[in-house]
Amino acid sequence: MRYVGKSYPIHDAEQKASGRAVYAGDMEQKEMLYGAVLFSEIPHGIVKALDCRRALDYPGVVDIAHCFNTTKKEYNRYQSQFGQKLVKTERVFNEHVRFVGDRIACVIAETEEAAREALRLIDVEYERLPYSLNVWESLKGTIDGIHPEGAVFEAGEILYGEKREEPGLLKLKTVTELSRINHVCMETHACIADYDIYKKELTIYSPNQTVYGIRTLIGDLFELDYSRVRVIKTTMGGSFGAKQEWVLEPVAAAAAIRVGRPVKLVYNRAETMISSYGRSPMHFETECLFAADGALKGVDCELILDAGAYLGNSINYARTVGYKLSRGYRYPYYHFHARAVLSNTIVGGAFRGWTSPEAAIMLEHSFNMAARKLRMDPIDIRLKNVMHPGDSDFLTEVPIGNFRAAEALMQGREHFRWEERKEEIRLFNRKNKRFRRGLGVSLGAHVNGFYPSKTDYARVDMRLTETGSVEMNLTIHDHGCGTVTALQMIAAEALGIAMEKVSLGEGDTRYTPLDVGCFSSRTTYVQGKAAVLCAEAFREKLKEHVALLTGWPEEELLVEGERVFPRSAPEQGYSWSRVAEESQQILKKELFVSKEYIPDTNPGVAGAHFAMVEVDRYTGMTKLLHYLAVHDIGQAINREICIAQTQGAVLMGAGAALLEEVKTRPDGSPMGSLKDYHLINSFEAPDVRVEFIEDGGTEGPYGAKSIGEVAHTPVTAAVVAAVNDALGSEMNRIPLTPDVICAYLSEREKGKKGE
Amino acid sequence: MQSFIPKTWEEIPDCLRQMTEKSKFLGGGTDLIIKLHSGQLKSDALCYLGYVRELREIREQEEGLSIGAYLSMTELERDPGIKARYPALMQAAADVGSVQIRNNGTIGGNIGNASPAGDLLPVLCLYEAKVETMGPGGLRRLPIEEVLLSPGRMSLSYNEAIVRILLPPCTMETAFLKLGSRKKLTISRIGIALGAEREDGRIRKLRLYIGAVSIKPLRLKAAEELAIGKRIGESEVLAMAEILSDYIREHVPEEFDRDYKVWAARGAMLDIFSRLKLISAEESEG
Repeated sequence: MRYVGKSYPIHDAEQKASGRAVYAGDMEQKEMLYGAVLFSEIPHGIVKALDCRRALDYPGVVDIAHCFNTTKKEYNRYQSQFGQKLVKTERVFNEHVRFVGDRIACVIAETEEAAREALRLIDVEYERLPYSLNVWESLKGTIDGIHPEGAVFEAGEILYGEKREEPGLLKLKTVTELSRINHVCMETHACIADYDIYKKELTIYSPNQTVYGIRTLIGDLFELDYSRVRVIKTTMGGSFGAKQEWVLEPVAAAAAIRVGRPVKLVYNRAETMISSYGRSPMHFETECLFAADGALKGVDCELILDAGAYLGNSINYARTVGYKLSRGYRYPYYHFHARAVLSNTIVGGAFRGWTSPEAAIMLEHSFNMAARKLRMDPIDIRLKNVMHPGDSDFLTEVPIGNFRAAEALMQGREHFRWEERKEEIRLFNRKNKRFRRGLGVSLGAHVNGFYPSKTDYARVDMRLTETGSVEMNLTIHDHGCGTVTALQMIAAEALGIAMEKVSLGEGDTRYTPLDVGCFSSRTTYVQGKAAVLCAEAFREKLKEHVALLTGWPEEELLVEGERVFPRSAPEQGYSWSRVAEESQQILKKELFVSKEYIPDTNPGVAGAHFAMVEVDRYTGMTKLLHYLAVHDIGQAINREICIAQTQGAVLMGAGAALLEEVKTRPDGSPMGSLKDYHLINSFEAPDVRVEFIEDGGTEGPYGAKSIGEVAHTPVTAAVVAAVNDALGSEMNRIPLTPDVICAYLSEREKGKKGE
Repeated sequence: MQSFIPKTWEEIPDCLRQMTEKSKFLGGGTDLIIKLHSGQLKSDALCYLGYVRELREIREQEEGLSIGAYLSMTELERDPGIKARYPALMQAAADVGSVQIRNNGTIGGNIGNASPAGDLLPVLCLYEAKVETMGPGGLRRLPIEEVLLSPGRMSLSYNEAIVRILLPPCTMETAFLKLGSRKKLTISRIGIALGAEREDGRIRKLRLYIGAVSIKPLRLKAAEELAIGKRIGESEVLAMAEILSDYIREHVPEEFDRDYKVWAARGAMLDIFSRLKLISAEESEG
C-alpha cells in the first residue's frame, strides 16, 4: 500500500510546534468580550442574594449573567442527541449550588483582566446546607435534597447465565477503589460564542468531540431553532473525554445572547480541574468463582460510582462498566449491579476508554489474585479464559470478529521475556531488602464504534477540483491525535492519488454532514470505512463522467496514476484535472459523490500489556522499568501515531495507577493544581515498546481497528499488578502513591510485630 | 499597583523609602506572581532589584563566598565555585522545580518566600549562611536562622531588601537530598542537608539540617551527637533516621503527610549518607 501503514506527521504538527495553530483561546473576533465565571465557594447551599453593584461599576465590565437573570431551564451536560432521555438538573448558573466550583455568575468585560478582577467584587450571600463528600455519606441520606430525584440512582442490573456454586471452586472476593482523576489536557477548556442579534443566530467555536451534540443541547437550552445554531470545531489540545460534555458552551452562549457580541471564555488549569469534570471515584465489590484449573465460572460485581454534584453521564457510565466486562473473557455466569450516587464534589464524566479501563482494573486484579491462590501464572490464567475469534460479546451477541487476545498475550510473554524476568526478579528480591521488583500483565478489550447500542453512521462527500485534487467533507473532530491525517491517508489510498491532493476539514454544523460525534473509538473504523466507500464511488463517478465525455464504455475504463483511460489505449485518456474541467464546461456538472456507511459489525480489539516495576520499600516510590504493549490493531493506518498514542496511554494509565488523584479537603474544596496533582513526567517515563498484530480481517478501512481507547484500557491494571507482585500485596486502591504503599508496609510491619 | 525598579546600587535606598507595609519584593516571581494572580495576596507596590549588578554577582571574598540575592537557581547550579566548595547548594538548586522555575527562581526569593519546603533553606543553614540586607538603617548581616521565622515570615522589615548571601568557608564534605512525591518537578516532603568532617574514618564533626518537617529548617542535634567519634555504617544511619522519625511523629501534624514522612525518613537518611559516601550504596539498599 502506498500510504496505509506508513508514518506521517499529523496535519497541524508544524503549526503546533511553531505556535501558528489557532486554538479557541487564541481566536480574536470583532468587538469580542471576555467572560470569567464566579464559582461557589461552599460545597452545598442556596445563593440567597448576589450583590453585583460594585462589580458592574468596575471599569470595562459590560454585564453580568447570573443565576437570577439567566434561563432556569435545566439540562444535562451529557446530552448530545435530540430527545435523549436524561435526568436534567443542571442550570447555566445555579442558585442551589452543589459543589465548590458550581457556576453562579459570569462577568462579561472588555478584557479578561477586568472580568476576573470584577469577580472579586461580587458579594454572595449563601445559606449553607449539609454536604457529603463521598458516596458513603450520601447513602446515609445527608444530601437527599440535592435534587428532586434524590441522591441515589439505580444505574442498571445485568444478569447472564446461572450461578453454580460447585464444591471445589475458589470463591474470590476483591474490593477496588478508584480515585477521582482529571484528563489534564494540554489545552484547558475554552470556547467562544457569538450571537448575531440581527440574524438571531448563535455561533460557537469550541474544541469538542461532537459539533452536533453541542448544537442539540444549546438549541434546546436556549430554545433556538437548530438551523440558527452553528457549531465549529476548533483545534483541540487533547480531550481524553474531557470535551464531550458541555460545560463552557452554555455559559458562553448565555453571555453572548445577553450582550449580542462575541464572548470568549477560557478556564485556567484550576478552573478546568475543578469545574469541568473528571473520572468518577468508583467502589467495586466483586466475587469471582474460579475452577481449580483457572477457568472463570462466574462474576458478581457491585459498583457504586460517585457521580459528583450533577448526574451528567453517570447513570450511563456506571451501567456501561457492566457492558465492558463482556468483551474479553468467556464465563458462564455474570451478575452486575450499579448505582450512581451524587455527592458535593466535582462532577463525574467521560474518560478515555469510557469505563473499559475501570472495568479492567477491577477484573484483572481478580485474575491476579486468583492466579496467586491457584498457583498459576497470571498469563496462563488469562489464556484459559480469553475469548477467541468466532466468539460473540455475550451481552450484545455481536461477534467479536478477529479478536487476537490470546496471540497478544503469547507474543508478549515471549517478547517481554516473561519467564526469564520472573527468575531474574526472584533472585533480585531475595538479595535486596529495600527494593522489590515485580511483573504485571493485563488484558484490555474495547469496541469499534457504537453498534449495536446506539445509532451509528457516517457520511463522506468528495468533490473533484479543476487541478485534479479532491475535497473531502465529513464531520470529524481531531482530538490532537491525528485523525485528520489518518482520514487523508485512507482517502488517498482508496482514491489512488497523492496525499497532498486530498484535503479535509473538521466538524462545522453549517457545512459538514450530520454525525454522532468522535467517540467510542469509531473515527477510523466507521468514518474511515465511509471514506473508503466514498472513494470507491468517486472512482466510479470518474469513469461515468469520462464515458459521458468520450463515449468510451464505462466498463472499459481504468482509473490509475491520477488518470482515467481505456484499457485498450492507456496512452489516451484524461487527467483528473481534465475530467473536472470538461465536466464543468461540457457536462455542466461538478464531479461530486456522497456516500453513507452504516456499520453492522463491532469487532473486539485487544491489548495485552506487560509491566516491570521496582518499588522502593523505604520511600514508597515505584519506578517503571520496562513496559510492552501488544495490540491486535488489525492494520495500523498511521503507524508512528498509533505507537505514540499507545505510549501516551501508558503514561496516562500509569499515572492513574501510581500518582493521580484530585483530592478534596474536608471543607469540600478540591485541590485544583498540578502542584498537588502529579502525572508521570518525562523524567519517570519508561521506554514503552509497542507491537501490533496486523492481520486485518475486519470491516474497517484496510482491516483496521481502534487504538486510542484500547491502548489506555489495560495500563493501570498492569502497573497495579506489577506493584502487587513486587510487594506480595493485594492492594487495588488506586492510586498506589508512595503514601499508600508506605502506609501498607507500615501496617504490615506492625502486624508482623504483633504476631 | 506601583513598581520600583532601581538600576543601580545607589538607587535602591530611594525605592525602599517609598515602600509601605503592603509592598513586596519581587524575586523570580515563581510563588509571588501566582499568589497575586489568585488574589491570595494583595500588594500596593512591587520592588524588583534584579537589574542591580551587585545583586547578580558571585564574588570570592576573604570571609567566604558572596552570592547576589538575584542569582537564579540555574546560575547557582552552574557556578563552578559553588559546585566545588558548596556542592549541597548546587544539588539543592538543581532539584528545584522545573527548568523554567529554576531559570526564574532566585536565592533571595527562596529565602524571602520562607516556605517550610524551601529547597535552599536547610542548605543555607548547614553552611551557616549570613543574609546581608539593605534597609532604612543601611546594610546589616544576620544569620539565616535568625532571618527565618515561620512559613512566609521573616524577621526583616517590609522595606528591607535581601541583597547578598554570604557563605563562610566550609571544611565539611556536604550534600543535599530531597524526597518529594516523585523524582523531579516536585515539592520537598523531606529535604536533608548533611555536612561531615572525618578523621581516620571517624566522624569529627557532623551537621544535619532537615527541611519540610518543621516551620523552618530543623537541626537534628541528637543525631549529630550520636555520630561524633564514630565510624558510620548502616546501623548508625538507621539510628539517626529513627531520631528523625520520632521527631516527625511527635511534631508534624497528620495532614502534613506525617505518617509518610515517619516511614520515609529511613530511606531519605540512607540516601543522603550514601550520597556523601559515608556508607556504601549496598548499605543504603539494606
